Amino acid sequence: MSNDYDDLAARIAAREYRIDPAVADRHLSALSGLTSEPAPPVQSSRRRGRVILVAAVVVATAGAGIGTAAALGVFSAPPSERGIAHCYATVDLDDPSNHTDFMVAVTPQERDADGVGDAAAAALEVCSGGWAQGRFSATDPKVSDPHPSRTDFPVPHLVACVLPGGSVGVFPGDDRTCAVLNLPSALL
Amino acid sequence: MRVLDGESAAYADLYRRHADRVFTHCFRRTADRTDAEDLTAEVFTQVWRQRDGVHLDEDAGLLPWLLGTANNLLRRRHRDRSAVVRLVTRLPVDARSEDHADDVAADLDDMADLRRLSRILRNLADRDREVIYLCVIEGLTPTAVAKVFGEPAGTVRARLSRALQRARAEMAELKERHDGGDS
Repeated sequence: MSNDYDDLAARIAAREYRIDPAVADRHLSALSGLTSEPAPPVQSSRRRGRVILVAAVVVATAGAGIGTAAALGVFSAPPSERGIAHCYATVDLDDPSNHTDFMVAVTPQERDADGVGDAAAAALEVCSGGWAQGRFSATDPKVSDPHPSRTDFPVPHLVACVLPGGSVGVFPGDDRTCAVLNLPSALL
Repeated sequence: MRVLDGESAAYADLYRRHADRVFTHCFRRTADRTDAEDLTAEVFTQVWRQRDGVHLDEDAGLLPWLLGTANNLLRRRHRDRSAVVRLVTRLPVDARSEDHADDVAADLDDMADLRRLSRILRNLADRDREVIYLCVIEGLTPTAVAKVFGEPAGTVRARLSRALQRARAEMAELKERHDGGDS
């Protein structure tokens, strides 16, 4: 004899739903930003090489009389990928477990005249919340689950840089942090 | 599978092939279209990040792993409703497809059933509840679910048997309470 539960389960199992095509397009667009970023972490030796390269550029540009900001390697760029961003616990692109990826939504109210929003500001807001909830810590490079109730963990000064794939990476640090990583700081 | 090697085009194909199934599962679990959309995006983000650890089932392909990932995210979401993530690929209503309004209207008819099932299963252990959704509602085999759970197939079958028994009893009790309330 059929049980009411079995009837209910059969009804639910028989129905299928479609994701809204406009939402699917948005997902695919955001996810393509994730896949276009370099999958393997940068090797330490390569990074050291890049930092040395930055230093060489700094010396060369300073010698050429270029302005102080450029000489210090402080340069900026807008992110080309605004759908995905990343919060880093440490200033390290090599560690595969020191960051989280998330999707950024910029609401219509937050869009500028060109129809794009400030992905860097949205990412800074999200990452700041992550630090306040204890997901990131100055004493542990690994990302943790958020504390179930506290939201008063210390939040360091955070900076938004543009990663090689074009998305925003938020790091603890100061004005020089992006340059140390040989990354531009993120503009609107 | 190509996506496990990190090919972007294969990843997009994977999304197109499985997004509706993942979305359907998430909608059945949440009874909320927007939450289900967010979860679907999260699942595919996880696929990319954890592609080295994917458990492939020969018969069902990646689907069991995708749905298992959705369940992990749902469990985590229940623990932490205030999660950091502005996880958001949310679209304003006026940016949605034209037939979306029809879908939403149809959803409303199904909500009562989805919520009733959720209420019946809410007192079950997480894994017992998930085995009902995966095996009974999604039609996965206990063997496929066993690989996702990392448990022997026999354990999953035992869970399923126990969970079904409990679900039927909960349903009967709910009906009795409801009928009693009517009288």
